[in-house]
Amino acid sequence: MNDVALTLDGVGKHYKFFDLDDVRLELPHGHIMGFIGPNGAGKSTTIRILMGLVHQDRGEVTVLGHRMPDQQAAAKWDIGFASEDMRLYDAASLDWHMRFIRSIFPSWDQPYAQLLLKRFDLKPEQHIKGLSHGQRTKAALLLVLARRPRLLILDEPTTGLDPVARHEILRELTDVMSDDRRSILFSSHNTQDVEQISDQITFIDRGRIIDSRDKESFMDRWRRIRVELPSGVQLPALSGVIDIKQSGRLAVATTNAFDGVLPRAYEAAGVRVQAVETMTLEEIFVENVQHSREGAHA
Amino acid sequence: MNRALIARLILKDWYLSRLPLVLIGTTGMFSIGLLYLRREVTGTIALITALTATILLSILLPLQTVVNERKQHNLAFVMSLPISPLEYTAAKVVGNLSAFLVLWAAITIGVLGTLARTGVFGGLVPFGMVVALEPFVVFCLLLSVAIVVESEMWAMLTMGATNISYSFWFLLLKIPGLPQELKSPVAIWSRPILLMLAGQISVIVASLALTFYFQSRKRNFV
Repeated sequence: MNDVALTLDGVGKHYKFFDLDDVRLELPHGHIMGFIGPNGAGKSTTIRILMGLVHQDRGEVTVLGHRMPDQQAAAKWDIGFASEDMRLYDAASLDWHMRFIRSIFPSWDQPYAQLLLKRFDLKPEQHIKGLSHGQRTKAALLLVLARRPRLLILDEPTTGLDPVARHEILRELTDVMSDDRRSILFSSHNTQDVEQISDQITFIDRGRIIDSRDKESFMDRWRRIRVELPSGVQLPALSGVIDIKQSGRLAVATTNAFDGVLPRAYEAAGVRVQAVETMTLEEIFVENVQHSREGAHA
Repeated sequence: MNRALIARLILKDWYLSRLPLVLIGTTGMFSIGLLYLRREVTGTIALITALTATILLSILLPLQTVVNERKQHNLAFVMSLPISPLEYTAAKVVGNLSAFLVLWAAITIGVLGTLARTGVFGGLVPFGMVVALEPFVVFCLLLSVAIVVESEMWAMLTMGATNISYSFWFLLLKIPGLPQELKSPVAIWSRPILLMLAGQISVIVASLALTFYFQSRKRNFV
């Protein structure tokens, strides 16, 4: 069996006011990838291409060993998909939806569905029309999770949810990963959610992947170094520093290639290092996007 | 083609459209019942009611099962199931067509059959067939546009344009000899009537075939 859940290789899609350009991405089995980007960055387009809902203009897409979009019907047996803008049928009850999905997927796990009903505090007899946004999202995820698909593709599943609902959903997604044959691609512009559950991170901006690696690498490589410049000392330009903000004698250097040598190099140049700070995923994301955009303008 | 899954999707659409289908079916049966009273007033009401029922059916089904599904953001849910775009198209066309045909045929056969059995109004049957077939034509055009274009606005424009086609019946009555044929106690299948029927059937076949053709070339589904 192929050990990769999905691959995108040189994928492009042209729209009148937006281009998805040369997207390369790989998600190994047993991993959960947070797919982060600002609004309009191309997250949903990429995910729709992965689902075969939108056909790429160029490049190769393979999901669970199936070429997309040609083999989408076969691939979707093992993909659970939920997106922020996906709705269930208002006029039908959750129970009807559960019976509908169960009639299609032999993998439907009824005891697990019952457990999720309790955990998500959902009433199966209730019509979708009467559910809140959070309940609708949880209902859609219940239908996806109870099928026990090998790959979950979730487009902004926690957007607009209250903290309790978000916590419930993230907990379920974490539980899914106890089975190392299953994988999740999880798009969001909420970096806290992604930081909490992902072990792989991909940043996308303006239709291009700007960085993709495991979460630990991100957290290890990005640092903010606060320094003080004694009079007459200039801050040296060091490799790996992508941003410098200076105010008088104080400066903050941001690096995406921290290896412990950088503070010593500053000290050697006469700069006093006050602190080396770790960065949150959100700070890394913002710096990454800004760096990428400045590079594009340069 | 995954026939089992297509069948599930068809049953799903029937279930979600059950209320208008039952109401239209009941109205159609009521209009046929009125014909048995054999009075001119009730007969006229029956014909108008039966025609209205089939016109409503031709509009409501594509709106409910295709346009609303997209408008209410249900399409992503359906397309997340293990189906190809062509299987989705097949489910929509077959599901809509079968639901429409069952009710349309029941109402049309009921009304025209009752007229033919009177032995007095048999001449109305060929013209009645042209009239009855028009909602079928409108239904197929609307279904085709709804599936292919996926736009509520285009569906509305199609409804408006096809509504105009109903007014052409009055022009048909200017065809020499036709008014006399209508008064005949038995059905007369004249050349103009047969040409009209052939034209309508051609539009039905072409619109359904073009639906599959355009869907097979479509690149964005949600």
